[in-house]
Amino acid sequence: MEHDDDITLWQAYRQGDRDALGALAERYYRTLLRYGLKFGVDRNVVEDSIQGIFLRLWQNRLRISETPSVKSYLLKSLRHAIMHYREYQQRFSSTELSAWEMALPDHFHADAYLVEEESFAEIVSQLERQFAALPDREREAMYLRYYKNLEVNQIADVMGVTRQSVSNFLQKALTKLRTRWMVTFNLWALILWSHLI
Amino acid sequence: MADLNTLEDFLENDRFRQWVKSPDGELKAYWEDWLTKNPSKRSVFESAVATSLLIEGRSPAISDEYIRRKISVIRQNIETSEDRRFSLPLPMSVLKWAAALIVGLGVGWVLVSQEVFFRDQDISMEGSGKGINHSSAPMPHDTVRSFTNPKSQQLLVNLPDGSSVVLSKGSSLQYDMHGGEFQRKVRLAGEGFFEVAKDPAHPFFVYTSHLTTRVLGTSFLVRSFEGEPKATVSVRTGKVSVTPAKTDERARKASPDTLLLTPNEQVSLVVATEQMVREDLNGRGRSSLPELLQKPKYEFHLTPVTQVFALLEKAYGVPIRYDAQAFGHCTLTAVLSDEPFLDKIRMICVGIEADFEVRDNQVFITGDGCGIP
Repeated sequence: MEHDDDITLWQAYRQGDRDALGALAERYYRTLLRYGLKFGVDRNVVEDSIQGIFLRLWQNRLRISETPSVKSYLLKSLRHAIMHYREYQQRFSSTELSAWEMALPDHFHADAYLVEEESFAEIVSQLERQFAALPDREREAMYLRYYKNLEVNQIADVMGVTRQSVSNFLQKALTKLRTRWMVTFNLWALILWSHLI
Repeated sequence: MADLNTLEDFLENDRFRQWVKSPDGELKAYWEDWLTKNPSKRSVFESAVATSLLIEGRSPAISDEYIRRKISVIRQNIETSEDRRFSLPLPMSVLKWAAALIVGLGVGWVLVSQEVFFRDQDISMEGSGKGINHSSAPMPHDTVRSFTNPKSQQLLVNLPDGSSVVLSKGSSLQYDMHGGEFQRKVRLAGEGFFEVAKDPAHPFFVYTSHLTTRVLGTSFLVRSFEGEPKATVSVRTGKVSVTPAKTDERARKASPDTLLLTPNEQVSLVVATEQMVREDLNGRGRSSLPELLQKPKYEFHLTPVTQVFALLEKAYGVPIRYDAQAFGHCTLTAVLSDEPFLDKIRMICVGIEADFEVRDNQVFITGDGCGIP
């Protein structure tokens, strides 16, 4: 969730308040780290990048402008740093970069999420297969929209694409997931129906 | 109560997203209630939960204590950054800045390949017993210094003006000191990769018996072994002038005395006729060079410095000693180009805030390193 006083802190930092920038770092470190780790690069790289972002923000504070969203500004900076890193890495090595990973978090417990363990496991394994077929940017758009709670225009800013592209990513991803559901339902209907006759 | 029918309806619902993030929070009762009232929608509800969790994905446990330590490093960086405004506080920024300057000079290197031998065959070469053989005795004012590399590994020679030469196996290099001064003129027999320190007022000359290469500040490979019918000079970037050391009067008239080479051009000298032919290089003819020296520039981005050291060791054949534990976490963002070896080491040390020393032809790096706090 976006904090109301982000903008206030941002202004204070730009006027030379070190603590304000520190407070923003504190607020978004975890968010940034989690996001950065999605790109399949080493944790050290992500942490170095985050550290670098805040240091450069401080050094360039006189040239930094106002921003409608501190959160998407930071996410965008991190994405940019990591993309650069990946680009260089790929130039020098042929190792395939791992894709945007989608798996059940470790903290999952069926009871807590009000689901029935067996049916849920089935749903998850089907969804995992479905997600695996999605392009990375569709997964990333889903992540930023439904996990990081960014608006479409903010996602466009972070990912460096148009709003229309973001909407397309989300729509395509959801359509693919929905299609599977229809297939499953039809199958159930068929099974049910065949049992009846 | 919201009317939720599709996967998208759930995902777009703030209450739902909030609850998925803290399932034991205050919204738990709300969704328990919702499920009792909408039993037919359990399936789509479960799929929405699964989708949300998969989107969140797995991430390593990050303790609050860990975050606190990370933040304190960031705060410290911000705190100390202003006092060091002119040297830029972050190691990698310093290097980036320094490297940008160097790249900005727009220099390049050239590849000279020739099979030639010394005209002055009587010059005696020092033998190399245990590796690099800089004469260690105090030098008289007028003296000849010689280096020979009989080993299969390459041999690094650091010249008095800061330039560096990597000698291949079976190669020799020689230069004079006139009145204690290095004139930027060297003689080569065999193969040597040169990275010449910039000094526009004093061109740097490499003499071989068939070709003379003149540069202001660039890098190039001179190859001059016996037994090859052709000599070549190839330029990657920058400009280099090549003059054949012609002995035949007719040949001297037949082709121009000096060729100015631009990037990706190569000149071939046919030894028998002393004719020079200009050719397109297109990536040929430098396969013998170590990886680091093949490209006009080498970019590192957050590369572990240990990797960079390994590349340098391989390219220059010089052991680099450092505390692997202290420097294991250092990363480097820089562009290494054609600066001489010691300049490269100097740049990297600025970047990782370390000191260096060259002893017994080994480089010793010392410093606090970049331990993970």
